[in-house]
Amino acid sequence: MRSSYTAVLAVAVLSVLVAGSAASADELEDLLVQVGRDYAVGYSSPLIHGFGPSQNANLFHTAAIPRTRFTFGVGVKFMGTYLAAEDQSFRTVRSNIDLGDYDPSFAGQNGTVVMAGPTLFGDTETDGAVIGYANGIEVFRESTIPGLVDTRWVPMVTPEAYVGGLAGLKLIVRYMPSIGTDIGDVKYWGIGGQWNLNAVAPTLPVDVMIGYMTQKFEAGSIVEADATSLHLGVSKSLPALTFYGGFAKESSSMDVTYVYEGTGTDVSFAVDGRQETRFTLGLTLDILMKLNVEMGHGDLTTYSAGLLFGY
Amino acid sequence: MKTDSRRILSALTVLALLGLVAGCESDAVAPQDQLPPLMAQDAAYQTGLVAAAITQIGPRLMQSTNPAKQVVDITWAGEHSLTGTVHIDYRTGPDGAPAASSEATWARLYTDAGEPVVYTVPDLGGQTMFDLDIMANLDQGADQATILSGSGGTMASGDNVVTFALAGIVVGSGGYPLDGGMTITAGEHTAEVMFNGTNIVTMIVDSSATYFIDLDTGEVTTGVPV
Repeated sequence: MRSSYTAVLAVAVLSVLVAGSAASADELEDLLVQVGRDYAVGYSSPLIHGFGPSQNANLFHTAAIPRTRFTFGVGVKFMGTYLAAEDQSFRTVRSNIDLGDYDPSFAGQNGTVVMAGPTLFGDTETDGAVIGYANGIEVFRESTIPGLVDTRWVPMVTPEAYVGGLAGLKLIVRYMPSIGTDIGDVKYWGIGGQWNLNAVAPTLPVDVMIGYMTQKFEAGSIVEADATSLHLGVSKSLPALTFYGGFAKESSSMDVTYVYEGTGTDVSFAVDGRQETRFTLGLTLDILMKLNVEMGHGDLTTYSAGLLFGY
Repeated sequence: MKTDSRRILSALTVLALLGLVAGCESDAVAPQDQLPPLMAQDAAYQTGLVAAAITQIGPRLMQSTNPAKQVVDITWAGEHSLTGTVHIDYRTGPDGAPAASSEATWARLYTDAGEPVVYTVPDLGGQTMFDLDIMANLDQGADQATILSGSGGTMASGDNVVTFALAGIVVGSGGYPLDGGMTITAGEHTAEVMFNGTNIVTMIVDSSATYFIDLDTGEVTTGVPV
């Protein structure tokens, strides 16, 4: 009874978070359409580089996978990449360019353009600016957009299920049902597999696992984020408690597409996430349900927690 | 009992490791580009603007509209591309008593903090902000002021700020500065201007490149303007 109540509560929290994500994606498009490509790349860079590490967090909570006993679980994972304080603002400089690309009245005039202001995770009360310099003199300044949400966290939440137990293999699935929004459907899925190496090295004092996971997030036609992780996990289980750690080679990318209102032109860019490796350390408490907390560190630091029901 | 101790010890070890990871800050990922350094040509261009502005502002030391006043405010509302206010404090000397502007032998021309004089750049249309602090000895008989060493100010435009030092510049109540020099520091570059009583003056940047300034427009050329 208590587990059922907790599960209902988790789903309720999840629904609020997913609805919030959809609304935020909608608001993000409302902001991005007001700026050109170069500004949008700087503005959204913390999301571009921070979302992948969140996606690739909490991919396992133990390296132990039974060889001949069915195992199954379902639950929810919460992740957040904690950004550096500097990432709440950005400054992109383009030198020796035609200022007319940013202000038609300066067509043919060479100079420098500075795009600066809050990132989408920056101050929501302050607008950014595009500033043009010719001969070191500021010749135009155009106000742009404020931050979307003032936080250092790049959050994510996802339902997850796993099934396995044959020859040390486990299948993991992450999936969110499609949610209709003004910018289109927001959807997310991921699939991965893990194999317990103790199947071929039964004398190892700890459980060892290798795994691979691929994930895709889409927010209408504006954002598409992919992430993959090839990971090695090690764990030691005690009654009701499992300690685990791991190392992962990972990649992520984000494609952003929108129509710039200023010129009516399509803007599209794809950027690879900076983080390529991570070390993971975690702890799983197994009493009635599995509750795990995890920290991962690579170029960015990610914190996550999971709540799983199963056996 | 032994198992419990091991479990507690293990948990503490993991928590300590988690603490270590928690202390790991994320690297910054948003671009934080710096403005490119000013080029020598940029320094020359900006020096031209400072020289043109000083040519307009300097003679006001000798142009008091009210000879009896000891402190005079001068406001521009677009004339000569200038907007803003400067104050001139007339005295009998640097440490002397306040004096009527028609009798003073020393004056200080300055802008209030945070209220620069704006010089709108001809042609480009950009704006530069001047903070000024200029001291001068006044020769009422010759109708001339000699700007003293230690005078100068800054010209800011966006994130670029140049500093200038004035010394020995002689100005009358009209016309162009008659004599003296001005040194400007713009980024890594230094420019020196020598006034000569005409609208065309010579500027040397980084002790090597020679330019000419038309004080009427601030325009900078590499050859003598015709």
